[in-house]
Amino acid sequence: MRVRALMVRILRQFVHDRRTLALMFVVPLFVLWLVFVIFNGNTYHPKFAAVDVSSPWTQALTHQGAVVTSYKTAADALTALKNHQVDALLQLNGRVPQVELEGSDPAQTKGTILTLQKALLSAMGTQKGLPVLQFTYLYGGANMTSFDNFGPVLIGVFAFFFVFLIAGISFLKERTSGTMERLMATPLRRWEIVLGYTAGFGLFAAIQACLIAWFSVGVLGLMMNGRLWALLLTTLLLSLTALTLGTLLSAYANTEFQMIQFIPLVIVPQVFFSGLFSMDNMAPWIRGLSKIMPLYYGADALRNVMIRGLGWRTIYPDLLLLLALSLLFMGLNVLALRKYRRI
Amino acid sequence: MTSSGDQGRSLDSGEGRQRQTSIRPKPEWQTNETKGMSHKPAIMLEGVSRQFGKQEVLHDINLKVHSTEIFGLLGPSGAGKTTLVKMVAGLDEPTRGKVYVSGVRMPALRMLGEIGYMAQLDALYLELTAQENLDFFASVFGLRGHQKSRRIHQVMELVGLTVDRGKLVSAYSGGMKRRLSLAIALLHEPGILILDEPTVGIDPLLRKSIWEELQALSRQGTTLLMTTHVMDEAAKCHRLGMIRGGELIATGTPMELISAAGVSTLDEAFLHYGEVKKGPIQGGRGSNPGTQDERMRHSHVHRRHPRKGRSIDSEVPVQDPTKGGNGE
Ligand SMILES: Nc1ncnc2c1ncn2[C@@H]1O[C@H](COP(=O)(O)OP(=O)(O)OP(=O)(O)O)[C@@H](O)[C@H]1O
Ligand SMILES: [Mg+2]
Repeated sequence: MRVRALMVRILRQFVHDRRTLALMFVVPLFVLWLVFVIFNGNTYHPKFAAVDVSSPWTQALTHQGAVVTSYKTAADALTALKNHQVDALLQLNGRVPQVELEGSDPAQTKGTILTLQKALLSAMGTQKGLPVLQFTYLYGGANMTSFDNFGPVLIGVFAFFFVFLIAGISFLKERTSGTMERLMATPLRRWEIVLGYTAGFGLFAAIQACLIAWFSVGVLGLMMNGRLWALLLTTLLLSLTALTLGTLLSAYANTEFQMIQFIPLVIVPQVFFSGLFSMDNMAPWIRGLSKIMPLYYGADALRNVMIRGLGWRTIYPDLLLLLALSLLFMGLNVLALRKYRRI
Repeated sequence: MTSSGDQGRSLDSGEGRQRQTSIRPKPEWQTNETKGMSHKPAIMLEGVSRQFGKQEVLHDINLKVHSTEIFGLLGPSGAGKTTLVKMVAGLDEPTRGKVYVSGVRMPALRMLGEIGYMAQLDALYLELTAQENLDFFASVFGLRGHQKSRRIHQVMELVGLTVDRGKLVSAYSGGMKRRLSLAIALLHEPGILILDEPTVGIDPLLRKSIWEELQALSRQGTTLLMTTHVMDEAAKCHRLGMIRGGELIATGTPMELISAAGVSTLDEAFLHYGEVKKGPIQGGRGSNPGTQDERMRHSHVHRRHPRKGRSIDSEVPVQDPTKGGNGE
C-alpha cells in the first residue's frame, strides 16, 4: 500500500515534469535515428583509378560495385589518388596486378581490398574455369548493415543510460531536498522506499523499452530475427539494472553534478565493453572486466535475439544475471539507507 | 487565548474566516496508552548525549514531557534544539542515553505512525501540487478514501491553503510552504506532535489561529514538543526547556522560570539562566501563574549549570548565532 503511494507520487512527479519525460521517451529515439542515418547510408563503393587494365578486370570490379575510372598515364592516376578522388590505383605490370592504396582511412582501405579480392577471385574463376566461391550466412546476411550490427547494442546503451541518470538524480534529489529524511519520519520501511522507487521508475522504464523497441524495429527497420517479447524483456531487465544501480550510486553523490560524474566512471566503460567495439583484440584480463558490467550481458542477449534470432534458451543466463544484479543493487540500497535510519 | 470551554474548535482568525474542524475521535493508542499509563511521560529523555565527531552537541539531557502538554524548547541558534527533537522523532539516535516516546525506546518503527514531525527545513515535493503532497503523505500514513480526503480538507482549511491547494509547491511562498509542512505533520492526527520552529515566516494572524489549533489539539490529548526562537510564543507553552550550548539549563512553566529568576520577562529569564554558573539546582513549584491548566502540577523549575560558564553579552541572546553554539 505504501509502496503504491510512492509509485503514484513518482508518476505524478513525472507528469508534472514534461522535460524529463521527454528526455526519457523522445531523446533516445532521436539519438537512435541520428545513428541510423549516419551508419545506414548505402554501402561504400570504392573508387579505382585503372591504368592500362584489360576489360575483364574492370568488368569484374564494376560487378563488385566499384567505380572504375581509366587514366592514360600513371602520373594522372597518381594525381587523382593524391587528390582523394579515388581510393586505389590499379596497374598491371605484365601479369602482376599492382595496387596503390590511398590508405588514410582503415575502414575504406579494408573495403577497397575486399572488393578487389572478390573481383580477382571471380575474374580468375571465369578465366581458368575455377569454381566460384559461394557464400551463405548462418546469421545476418549479405544485406546486413553496420547499423544492424550495433543497433541492438545501442538499444541497450540507451535503455541503460537514460534510466540510470534520471532515476539516480531523482533519488538524489530526494536526499538533497530533505524529503528523504522526512520519509524516514514516517512508518515507511527502507525496503518499501527502494521498492516503491524501483516500481515507479520501472513503469517508465518499461514504456521506454517498448518505445525504443518499436522505433528501432518498426520505424528504422533494424534487423530483427528473434521474438519481440525477448527483445522487450531484455531491454526491460537492462533498464531495471540501470535503475537500481543509479539509485544505489546516488547514495554516494551529494549533488547532481557528482551524479553526472558517474557517467565517465560507470557508463562509458560499459559502452566500450558492450560489444560496440570488437573485444577480440583486447588483452584477456581487460576482456575479463566486461564480465562485471551489466551492459555486456544485456547487449549480448540483445544481439542474440535480434541478429541471431535466438530465444530464451540462449539468453536466459544473461537475463537471470541482470535480474540478480538488480536485486543485489536493491538490497545494497536498502542497506545504504541505514545512513538515514537504522531501523 | 481561547476560552477553554470552546471545545467546538471553531477558529476565528479575526477576519471572519471561520474554520470548522470537527472533534476527532482519539486514536486508539492514545486512549489506551496515555490514559492507562498516565504515570508514563509521553516523551522521556534519559541522560541523552549526542556527539557529531568530536563535538558534543547535546550533553546529558534529562527531560520529561507529559501527556497533552505543550512543551517548548527555547534556545539560541546552534544550541541543539533540532538535534534533540530529531532524536525524539526517531530520525537520529543518541550517542549515550535513552529516548522514550510513550514508553517505547526510540527509534522504533511502530511509533513513527503516531508521531507527527515538522522539520525545520520544509521537506516538500516542489514539483507536485500541495494537494498531491498531502495525498502522498496521507497514503504513507495509511489514510484512505473518504477519511483521507476529509483530513486533507481539514488541515488545508486550518493552515489557510484551501484556495491554493492545486498550485505547484514550487510556486508557493516561504510561509505557504511552512504552512503546508505543518498541515502534513497534522494530517494523520498523531498523538505526539514534534514541531521544529513551526511558525517561522507565518503572519501574526495565521500564527494566532494555528496556536489556537495547537492548544485545542493539546486539550484533546495531543502532546506537543516544539522548538522556538520567539519569546511571545514560548510564553504560550505550558512548560519550557531552556537549552543552551547543548545543555538543558532550566525547565518549568514560563511563569516559574520568570519568578525563579527574579525577573519580569522571559527574555530576562533566558539571559539569567544563561548566566548562572553556580548555585543549587532549584526544584520546586512556582506560584501558580493562573494562566495554564492542571498540567502545571508537573512543573517545577529545574536548573542546571552550563558546563563551561559561557558569558552572555548579547541583549537578545536567542537571536545571536555566535553565542551558545558549541563552537569550542
Ligand atoms: N549532522 C551534523 N553533523 C555535524 N554537526 C551537526 C550536525 N547536525 C547538527 N550539528 C551541530 O550541532 C549543533 C546544534 O545544531 P542544531 O541544528 O541542533 O541547532 P538548533 O538549536 O536547532 O539551531 P537553530 O535554532 O539555528 O535551528 C550545531 O553546532 C551544528 O553545527
Ligand atoms: Mg534547529
